[in-house]
Amino acid sequence: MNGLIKVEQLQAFYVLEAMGKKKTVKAVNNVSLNIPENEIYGVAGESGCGKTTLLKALFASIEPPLQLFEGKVSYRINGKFINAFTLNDQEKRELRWTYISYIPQGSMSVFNPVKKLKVTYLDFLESHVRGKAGQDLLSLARHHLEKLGLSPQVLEAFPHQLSGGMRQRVAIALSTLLKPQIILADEPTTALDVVAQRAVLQLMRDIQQEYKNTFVLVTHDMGIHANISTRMAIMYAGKIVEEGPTPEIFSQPLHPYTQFLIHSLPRIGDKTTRKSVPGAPPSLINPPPGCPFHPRCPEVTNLCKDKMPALNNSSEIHRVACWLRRESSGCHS
Amino acid sequence: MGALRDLFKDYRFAVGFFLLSFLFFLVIASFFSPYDPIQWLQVPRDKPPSWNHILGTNSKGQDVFWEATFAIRNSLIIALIAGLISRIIAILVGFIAGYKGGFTDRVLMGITDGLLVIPLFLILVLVAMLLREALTLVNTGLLLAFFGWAWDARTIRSQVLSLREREFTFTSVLSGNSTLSLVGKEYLPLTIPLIFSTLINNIAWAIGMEIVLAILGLVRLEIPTLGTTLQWAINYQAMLLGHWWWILTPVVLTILLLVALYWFSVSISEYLDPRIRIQRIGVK
Amino acid sequence: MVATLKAQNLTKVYSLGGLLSRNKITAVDRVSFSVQPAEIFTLAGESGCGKTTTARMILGFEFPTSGKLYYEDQDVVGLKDKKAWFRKVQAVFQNPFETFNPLRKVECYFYETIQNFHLEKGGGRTQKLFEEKLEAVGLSLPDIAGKYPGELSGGQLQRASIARSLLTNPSLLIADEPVSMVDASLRMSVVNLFREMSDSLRVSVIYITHDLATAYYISDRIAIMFRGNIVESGPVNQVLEKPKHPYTKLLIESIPQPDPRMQPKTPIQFLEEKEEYLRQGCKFSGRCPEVMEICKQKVPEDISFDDVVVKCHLYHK
Repeated sequence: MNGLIKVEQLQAFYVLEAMGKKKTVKAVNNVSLNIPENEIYGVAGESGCGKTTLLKALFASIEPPLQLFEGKVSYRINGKFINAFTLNDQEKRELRWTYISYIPQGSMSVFNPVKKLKVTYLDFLESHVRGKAGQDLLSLARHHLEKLGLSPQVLEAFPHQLSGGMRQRVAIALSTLLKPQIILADEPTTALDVVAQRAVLQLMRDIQQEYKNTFVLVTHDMGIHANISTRMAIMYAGKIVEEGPTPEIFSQPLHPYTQFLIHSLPRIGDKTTRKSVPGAPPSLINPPPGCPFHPRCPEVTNLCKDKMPALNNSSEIHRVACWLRRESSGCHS
Repeated sequence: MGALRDLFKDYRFAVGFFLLSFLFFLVIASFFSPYDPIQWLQVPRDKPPSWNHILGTNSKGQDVFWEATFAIRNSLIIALIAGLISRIIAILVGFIAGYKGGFTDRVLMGITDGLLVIPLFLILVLVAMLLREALTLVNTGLLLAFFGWAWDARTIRSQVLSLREREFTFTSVLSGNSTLSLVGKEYLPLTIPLIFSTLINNIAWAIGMEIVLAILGLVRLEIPTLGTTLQWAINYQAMLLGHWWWILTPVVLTILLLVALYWFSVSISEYLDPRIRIQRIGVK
Repeated sequence: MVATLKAQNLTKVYSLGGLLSRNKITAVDRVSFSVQPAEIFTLAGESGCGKTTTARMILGFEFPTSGKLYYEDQDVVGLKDKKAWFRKVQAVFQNPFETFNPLRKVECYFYETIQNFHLEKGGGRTQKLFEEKLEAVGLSLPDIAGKYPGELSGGQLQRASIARSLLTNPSLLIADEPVSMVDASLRMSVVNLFREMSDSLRVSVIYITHDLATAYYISDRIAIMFRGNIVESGPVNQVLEKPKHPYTKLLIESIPQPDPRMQPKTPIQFLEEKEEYLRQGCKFSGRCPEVMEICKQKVPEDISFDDVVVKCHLYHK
């Protein structure tokens, strides 16, 4: 298995204490995944399903109030798997941006508003690249930007002089400067309109094709996944409920939740009625017993209310966690 | 009440509350004082603490403990008057300027800024010098109130400015609410933590200023307050003469009072912070 | 049929910088459209195109620099009696979590609306009216009664917001990005609500969005805005299935289709927002794939093709 990151039975919860009351938010609740090489791996799910927490765990950035309860995340470095949580701060710092990169949500606001972009870039490069002087580093940055189809002139600008879409692309360029193998992107296009979004997605696809690295793209927008993710995982209430190649997930969604998500998307040219999922998203503090989707599932059975189904192989490459989809439906080999 | 129980879990509130209760108890005690606060030579002078006089006596022939009860009471009266009146002015100015904007805002902020720019200390000293005889407790309070509202008016105004842009303002307007009722129902609850903490800060500031004025001899020195008792102790060389009970009493009491106020204010404003309150509501 | 709302050359100009600055941005530039009774009319465009400013002018939260606004043929610009206006026009906003004050119970706004507009004729009907409107949006009284905004989901809050806006039986509802912050799994049920309201309650809806897919799904007519101008408008089928203006074509192409088999095409350019606002001639000329010399000098006129109106030199023959 040419996986780059292995996630095994990960349980990462937020422990919150307000005025003497303790709440545990089960954001990532027993997740096992394999992030492959040379793919754009999409993680879909609505707000509050735990996807951002999953990214933080992948980045080995678990800080209070987030706590690791169980499981591990392993990076494949030089052919060996190393448990990311056993690394000390120094080692983590060396891996960050050179092996694994993180683009947080709203990162278009990550630039210091009173400094020109080139100062931010220089700061970043100087702390990570040894043995090179300022001018060399800047030409490295300019070269990288040009290669990605962005004008090197942006380095001379202040953040507020660029549009949101432009800033986002510059942030993506910055995070890929040192050619990391994995890039984690959290809702990279949320605050952007459709046209800017297209440019950002284009950039990500270009980077992936050029450097053959892996993007882990978290977004609730299924349209984006359809567009650039090659493989996808659907998250619900802190668990992965379905996983597989994107074309298959869209053409043959297996889990009832995935089916709802895909069929509810409106498209131009089609005015037939769309329905959304009944009920309300579950609380992660008190998730429902058994399968977390059961209160809203139209095909619920008694078993569903009791036990959580495992993420089983419906086929070699397509997995689903549902009692009603246990046996392979025999349609793919 | 559930709220009080929650608050007591915070050690700062608990300590602050007890200290303030203790000091308040002393204030009540002042009404039962066997001695007159102003008369000199009521007891033997300069006696160290003993069973008769728990905190000893001072060089004026007064019982230090009973003088202290009056001192706390009077200082608090001044500070409360200053704090409450300056709140009212700050709230009125802050809300009106923040919500109305435009010309009204500019005029009000012009006045506020004018007051902020004046070198406060000099003016206060000047005014106090001129008014010395008229500076009763109430007047001192009013004087401090006059100089204490400007900063907080600006703070409240900036809070209102950001609240004005939030969507629930529009929902309230669309629900047919008039400006006054909107500001009262929507903004006041959200600004109470701010107002409360500025109140306590203002009270602490007023206590401090009063002490400063007293040390400079600018108030009516026969009225016992924390500042004046300290001033008398310094004047009579209490430190050099070793009469530690006389000088330490106002100092320690002031420190206790200010720490108690600070912790009380911080714990309550954290408790009242809407974000924490919402978290609590969600817990059910 | 008298149009419920008619905007004629509505314009809003902001000046940049301080009091003495000469830089002006025309956020809304001579926008004209009309909304018929019981129809869903969409104002679509990128962020910063002027759609929210237009909505605020209609609601009376901003004053137009010039232009006219008619409600059933009555001039309503600068109307003094805001309350009377809000009987007829109401609004729903983007962020369901901010629509209600987090420290107040959601029901307070309902009771206030009923009280302020004197909606209950004779005692005891207040709660019935409240319940009625909740049911119209698919909520029940126990769902909302006594609850704070923090206890409800985005979908429920948005429905409550819609229910509140229906209390005065308005003839026009302005919905500014009403579902962009609602979870994907609940979105369509809220979108469907607007369709129902327009069909059964005969309410006109001005639906403001940048999501053309949902716009296609529920609207009757649509106007595409770009940097303050309406560049194309008409029946939604025609505008979105057979777009004429190059910008409309760009928007439709850029929508990530939820179908992995369709991949997008040519890379596109970007220009700074302010620069485009201050441009002479057609504002889109900087990035139009079909730009001509005249586009950079002269602002195009509105040209009609049956029901569709386009603002583009390409069609000027």
